[in-house]
Amino acid sequence: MLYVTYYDLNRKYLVGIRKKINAQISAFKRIFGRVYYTCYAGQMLYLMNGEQIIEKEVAVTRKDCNLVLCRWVEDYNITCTYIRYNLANKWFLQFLKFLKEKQIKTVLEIPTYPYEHEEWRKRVAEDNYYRLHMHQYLDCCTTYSNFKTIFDIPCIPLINGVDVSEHKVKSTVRKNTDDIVLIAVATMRREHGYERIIRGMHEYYQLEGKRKIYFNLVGDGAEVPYYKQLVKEYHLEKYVLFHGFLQGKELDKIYEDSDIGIGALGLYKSGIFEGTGIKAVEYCVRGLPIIMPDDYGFKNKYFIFKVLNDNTTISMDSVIDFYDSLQNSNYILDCHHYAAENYSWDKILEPVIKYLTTD
Amino acid sequence: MEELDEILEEYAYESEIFSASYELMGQMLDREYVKNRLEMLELFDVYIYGGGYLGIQLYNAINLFVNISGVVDKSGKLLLEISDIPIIDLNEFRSQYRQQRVIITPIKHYKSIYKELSEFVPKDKILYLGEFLGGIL
Repeated sequence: MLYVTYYDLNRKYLVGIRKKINAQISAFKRIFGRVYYTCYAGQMLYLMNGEQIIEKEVAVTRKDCNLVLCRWVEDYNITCTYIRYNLANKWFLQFLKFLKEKQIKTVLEIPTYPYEHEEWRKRVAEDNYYRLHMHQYLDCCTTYSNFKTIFDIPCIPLINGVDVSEHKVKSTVRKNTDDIVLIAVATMRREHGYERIIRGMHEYYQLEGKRKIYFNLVGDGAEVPYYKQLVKEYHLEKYVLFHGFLQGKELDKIYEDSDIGIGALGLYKSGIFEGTGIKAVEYCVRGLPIIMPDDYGFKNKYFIFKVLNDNTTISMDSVIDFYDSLQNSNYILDCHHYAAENYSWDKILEPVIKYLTTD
Repeated sequence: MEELDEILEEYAYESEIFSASYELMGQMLDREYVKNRLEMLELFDVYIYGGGYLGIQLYNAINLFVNISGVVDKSGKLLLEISDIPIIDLNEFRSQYRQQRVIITPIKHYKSIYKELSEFVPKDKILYLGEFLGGIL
């Protein structure tokens, strides 16, 4: 099997995507045995197996990439492919056509849909044109929201999963429940919308709220200066803490000292109204209850606080009520077990594997 | 229609080459980053292949940190007249080459240059500029 990505997976800001891809590959390996994957770095395409570079080739243009991919598919006797979508173009279509002609079963993962308003989207007109032709060569795609078809391609809706063994479950419950510590671990893009929390904290402290609410922001990204500016303007420096990018033990430590995970609160900016973020699942597997704008994949779970998917300020009084409502339950273990049972990639990818292995 | 398609394809190809060159030019402006890459790749003594803008930019970016044995260009000339950059042609390079790493800078002609060089330079000593600046280590 070949898992095709067009990313430089070693980039720091892609750490979440890298983890997800690795976890998906591990699940595929348990079924298909050997799973190669590709990544793109330094204008070169790499064929990888685990951490090992199997082949590398200079591929400056998309046409070059297509040629290299077709060659590897033949040289390595690839029988099925899973492709992480990176916009459509003529050469990508040629690659799909090649796979179809070779009768190689292919699933296209569209990680975000719709993506019209996403900032990373380049060459819009080109994508708008070529994506409408993809259905000629594809019989299956996947995405992380509830669509039956996308661009006329039958779609398997997925939820974001997690490698349970990678995340340490929270081991302590705060003794002094007067303090509440929120945490957001993200690449800090506009879709994260954490200004809604910061504004809520501002209102709360202005009205002299008695309980102490803190907010740990972990990660680097384009929105950090904006959040910092808000924090300065509202004099919240004592309560909103910027930690930058953390991983490993340092990240575990911050999680250990946090009580509620904050999902992406600005999805409405991209016109997205449903879908489980990777982070929400990671919070859950670590045993943290979550504040998020939809409960896709978490319907009626008492440890989810669903807020509106718009620009309204998140009321800290409602956060306090939510946190207090959890105190008589074993929410840490409930969160962890729920995520472990429902969000393992082996389980999530079952329908994809079924499609790829059925004649 | 097919002819138009070919013309568009050619333009798209050229624009991708230009944007890739621009990206490399930009990366080479970051001295610290370039220094780190040299250290990570353990480059101490190198030849630069290509006397075009990318080759000259690379020379200026790494000159302070490593020994540059020479800049090689088939024509034996640099694209700009810069007297303090040592430039040699392919024959001279072939006769003086002693197992140093060679960084190929011309994007469009990478494959033919690689083929030519690999007649006397071991393949693991040849590095593409993009790989030097951003490849997986």
